[in-house]
Amino acid sequence: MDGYGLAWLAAGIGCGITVLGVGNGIGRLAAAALEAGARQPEAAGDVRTTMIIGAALIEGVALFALVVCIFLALKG
Amino acid sequence: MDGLLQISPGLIIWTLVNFSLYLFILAKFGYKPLRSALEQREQTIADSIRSAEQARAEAQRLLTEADEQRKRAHAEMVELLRDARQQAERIVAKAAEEGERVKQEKLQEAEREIERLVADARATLKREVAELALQVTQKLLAQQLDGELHRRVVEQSLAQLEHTN
Amino acid sequence: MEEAGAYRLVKGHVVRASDGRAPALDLSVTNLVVFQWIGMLLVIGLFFLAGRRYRRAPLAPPRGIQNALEAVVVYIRDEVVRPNLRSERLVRAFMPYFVGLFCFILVLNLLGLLPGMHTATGSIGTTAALAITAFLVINGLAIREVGIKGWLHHLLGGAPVYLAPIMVPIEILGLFTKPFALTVRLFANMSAGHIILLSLVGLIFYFRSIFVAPMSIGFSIFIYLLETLVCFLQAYIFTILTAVFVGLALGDHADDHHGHAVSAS
Repeated sequence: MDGYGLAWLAAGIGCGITVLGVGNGIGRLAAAALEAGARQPEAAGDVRTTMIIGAALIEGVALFALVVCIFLALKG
Repeated sequence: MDGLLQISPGLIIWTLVNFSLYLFILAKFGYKPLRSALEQREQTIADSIRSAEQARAEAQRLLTEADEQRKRAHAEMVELLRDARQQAERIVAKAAEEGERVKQEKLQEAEREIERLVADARATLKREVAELALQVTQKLLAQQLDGELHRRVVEQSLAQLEHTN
Repeated sequence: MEEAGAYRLVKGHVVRASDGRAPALDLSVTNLVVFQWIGMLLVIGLFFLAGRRYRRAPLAPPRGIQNALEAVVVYIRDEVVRPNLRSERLVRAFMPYFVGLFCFILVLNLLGLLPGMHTATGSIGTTAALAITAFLVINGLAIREVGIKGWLHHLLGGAPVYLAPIMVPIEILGLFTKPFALTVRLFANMSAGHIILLSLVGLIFYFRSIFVAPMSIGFSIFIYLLETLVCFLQAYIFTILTAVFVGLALGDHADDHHGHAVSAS
């Protein structure tokens, strides 16, 4: 396996790990937001906005990782 | 995939120029009328709400006032009625009292009249008895009869007295 | 490019005709620039259409395109800008920027969904430029409102002064990661959908079979609809994150000076 192969492998594995983490994070966020919305339906709008912001921030971190993966993949 | 992560300065500069131009035009000509219209409408709505609120408060005030007046009138009426009833009772009581007093007066008057009549009668009786006694005495003195005659005359006089009484 | 010109096109890249190397600054009007122009004209045209109606009857109930624009503007004002900027003066001053940003990104995103068009926001150059404006707005506004001292104080991140050697580099890094995250988020979201669409359609050619087509097309339609949602969502997220970052950079200072203006509105 040469360097390109290692880079592609790293890109694939990194992508998978990134998605795992982000899925976990956004899943927890959505669960908490749903729970909060169910408990206090009158605050559901605020909760949704905050949730979208939080999800976007988590997603941003994930995208950094994915950009690194793309860089690795494009080495080939 | 080669150009995916490529950052071209030309595109950045073009985008900056485009976006600035776009923002300038939008802010100057596109957004201004929308904002002023929005503000105008919001102002109008706020004003109408405020004036409606005022009108409602005014109506509420008038209603309370009318209610107050009605209550006051009612209380006055009740007061008047009570006064009238009291007055009537007082008049009736006064009339009864007056009647009682008149009756008492009449009664007293009648009593006094009776007493006077009785006194009159006594006086008359006394006078007559005195007169009779005088007459008897005169007769006794004039006739000067015996004891038998005296007794008869006295009995006769007494009978006469009894008779007149 | 003409053969006789100073530059020529080789394999999609503009190079000098004389020595075949890339020019120092390539300012060629690419298709993305043209799509930006189209988007700009669309948004400005819509606003002009609505504006004509406003000039004619400012108090009439909004209709049609006017109604849609008004909904967007009011939503951005009440849900995005006001909670973050807090001071009514700043809201008035910066509403055009946020409305313009939202409409620009949204229109470019949606244009990219039309067949034959290209997503201008699916290129790092465009999103980087938008993030640069966001960076300028965030820090320029913070410096103007809280002063250069207050801005520097924010670099401490609320920590005591002796932690400055640790906090200041982190906060300075944060200053640049915020617009960088905005750049990458918008670019990656808009590109990812297109890459997935491309991959799904590419499967048909990869397998060289017509029986893959129904699956491919079905999934593409699903992804396409999802992308329509993502278009709106990403425009919204870019705008609200910019507003949130502005609010963070302003700190609570804007509240102290102009708090009464908010309650009056």
